[in-house]
Amino acid sequence: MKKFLAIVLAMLMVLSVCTACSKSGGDNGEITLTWYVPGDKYPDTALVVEELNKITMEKIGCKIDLQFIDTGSFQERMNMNMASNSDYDLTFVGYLNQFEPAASKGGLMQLDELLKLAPGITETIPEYIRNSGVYMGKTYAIPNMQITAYALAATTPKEYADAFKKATGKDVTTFTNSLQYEDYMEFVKANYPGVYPMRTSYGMGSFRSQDEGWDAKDPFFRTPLNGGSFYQLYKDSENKKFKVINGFKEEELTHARMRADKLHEYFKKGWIRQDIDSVLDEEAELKQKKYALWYGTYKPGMDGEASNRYGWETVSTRISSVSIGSASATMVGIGANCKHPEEAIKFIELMNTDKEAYNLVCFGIEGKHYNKVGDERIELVEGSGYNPNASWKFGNQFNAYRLPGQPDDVWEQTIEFNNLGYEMSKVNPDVTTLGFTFNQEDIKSTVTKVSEIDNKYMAKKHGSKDPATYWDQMLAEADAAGNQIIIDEYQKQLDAFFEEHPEKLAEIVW
Amino acid sequence: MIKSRSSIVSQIILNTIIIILCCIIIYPFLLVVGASFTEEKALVEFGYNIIPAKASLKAYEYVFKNPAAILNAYKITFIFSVMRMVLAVLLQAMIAYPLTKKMLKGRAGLSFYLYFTMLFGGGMVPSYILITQYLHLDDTIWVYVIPMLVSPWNIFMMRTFFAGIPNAIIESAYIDGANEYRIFFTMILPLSKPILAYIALTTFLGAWNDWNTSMLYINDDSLISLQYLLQRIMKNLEVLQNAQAMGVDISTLQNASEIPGETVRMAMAVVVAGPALVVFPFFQKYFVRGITVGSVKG
Repeated sequence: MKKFLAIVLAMLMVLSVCTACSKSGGDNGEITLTWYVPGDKYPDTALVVEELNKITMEKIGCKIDLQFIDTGSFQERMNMNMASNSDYDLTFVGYLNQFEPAASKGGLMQLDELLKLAPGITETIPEYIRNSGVYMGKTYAIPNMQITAYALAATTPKEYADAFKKATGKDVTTFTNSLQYEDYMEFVKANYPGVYPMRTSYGMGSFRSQDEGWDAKDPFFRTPLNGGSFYQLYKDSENKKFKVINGFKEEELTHARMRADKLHEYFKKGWIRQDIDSVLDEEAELKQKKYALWYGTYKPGMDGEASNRYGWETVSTRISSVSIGSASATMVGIGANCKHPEEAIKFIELMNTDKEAYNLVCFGIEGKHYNKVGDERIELVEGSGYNPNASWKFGNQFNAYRLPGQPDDVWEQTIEFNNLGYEMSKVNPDVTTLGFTFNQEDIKSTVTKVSEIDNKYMAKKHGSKDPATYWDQMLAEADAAGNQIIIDEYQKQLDAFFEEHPEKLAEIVW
Repeated sequence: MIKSRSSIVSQIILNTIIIILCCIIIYPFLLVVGASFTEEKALVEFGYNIIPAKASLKAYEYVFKNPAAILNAYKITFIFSVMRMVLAVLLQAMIAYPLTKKMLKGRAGLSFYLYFTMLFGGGMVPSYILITQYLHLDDTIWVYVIPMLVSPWNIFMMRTFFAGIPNAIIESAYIDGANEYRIFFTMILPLSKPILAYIALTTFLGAWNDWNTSMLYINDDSLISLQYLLQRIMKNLEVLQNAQAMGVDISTLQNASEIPGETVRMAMAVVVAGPALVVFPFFQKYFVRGITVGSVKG
């Protein structure tokens, strides 16, 4: 037993030495910026960072410590880093490490002054996109340029679409709204047993009433608020103001019920799979061409990417008008306790303007992780040691090399699509791109309660239940959870915003 | 011995209930095992079955495609679980035993000090600050061991148990000339096997199932725990779904390595659960005694 005790004591002593010696990094005046990005860890990250450091040392005089953190724990890790006032330098902000909480709790540094040191950022990124990183009138994050306009796309496997065209003479690429696909679904149902005519992952979002020819007064389809479909923003052209409404209640404006009824009608016709409520993962069946139609976000070059992924061709058609979306899902921010903010902002500038550095981080080292097959076209090396495969995590995506399946002009097309969205936004603005942010801090618990109700009825909104059986109950439960409190608060903040910025209101075409 | 009729009837009823309960508990586990051996496509087509509609080892092939990662996580998890178990039992016993001694000065104060931490914890953020910025335990194996070593609940259970050991035995040892250490190691500990085994087992299982620590403190892939390896797959999937809902273009991310099929997840669950199932029966005889023993004094 004495021996055992001695071993334990020895272990504890080793430990104390270990803790004392770890983390005593060299401090020779060299600046190293820690950069947290969500993603898998790649064996060759160190090699890539070494190359990157050669560029950054020369251009901005510092080194970068690129740290990938598992996607699944990124949010928690950053919450902890911010709460504990850790002095990290750069972090991804967006769909993970969400912007509003990060900015409102003081986890991010305010960037307005710093931006003057990095003119490249303001020159490359238009103001309406930069507004995604604005909270309460101050900039806290820089969006990574990517697709920001939004439209609904209907995608069909080319095989079925071609057969449909042959049989009926109708070309799905000429369709302009989702109702037109009804014939197609009927055709699939009749000719391809075992194939589900429609996939409902978008639920009621599969229809956009203003595009279906229904008599809609054009409410906004997307709202910037978590908590889903209970809130919509209605542009009241007569009174020249914005009204926050309950999208499910103000039926005459949103046609929510009509959309829900339509889905249920499809379900009864057998166009939607009968076990939809218990389906968790549709991707496997999608790959086997078991769905004939699904909805998604439109983007230029999407068919090329899909055929690359599935091994067969798809036909995608934009079936809605373009609206402006927010870039807030993919941004980069500087930590509130960053010790070298000037270098950090210059690094963000570098990731937005320097093709060499940016593509190095996105794709790795030429000849090792990818091969060039054209001027700006590459093929990734299969199974290489560095493959983040998501250029929107790092910076300006419009500087990225083209991958197989992407057209040469994919970024030009995307920019054009974005611009279209921006033009449309003057008629149909998304308030977040005008710089408005909804501060949910005071009504947080109410928001949570209402979004729980939303989630509870989410499955039903996929068509399996007759809306007549649950609609009123859903509305009643949402009201009981305090829906009106959120609507009133939203309206109050929105009115205050426009009172403060009358010029924004003046820009809008009513 | 002749059993009365009523006792036979009650035996039958009780046994039936317990057998049904067992089936209810075992069935989902068998489903998981069955699904893990099913071909992915067959799973979609025929659903979950205990006996696979189409058997396949693909999921296990995928799981063990990178066996180094799993083996390493096994090794790490085993090492820190054993370390935590041994150190925790030893330390807690060494705290609990003196608390049974009436001659210990400040005994009430010490007990209260322990009890106080049961009522008021430091909270997540302060612990995080302490561990990462002062102790610098992050990215070391010690972060799995040190912060969880002492639980007041376990100490009070042990104290109650030790207090139940007849004083006469200890006094006779004094008379024979044994010192406190000798009494503690050669008499108290062997006499307290049930409670030690119980605490060892719960500590070991707690450590074995620990994924939270990896998530918060470990950034070095060679130090992550087995449960976190599994958890990571699940969480990444969840995040991807959320990302899609928020309008992020995740099409570039949807490659096979990040979204595993249903069968792979089942196979992961089987691989990870294995050892805990094996360990449990060895401790079982102590387990039941341990629970009752700590709670009833006398």
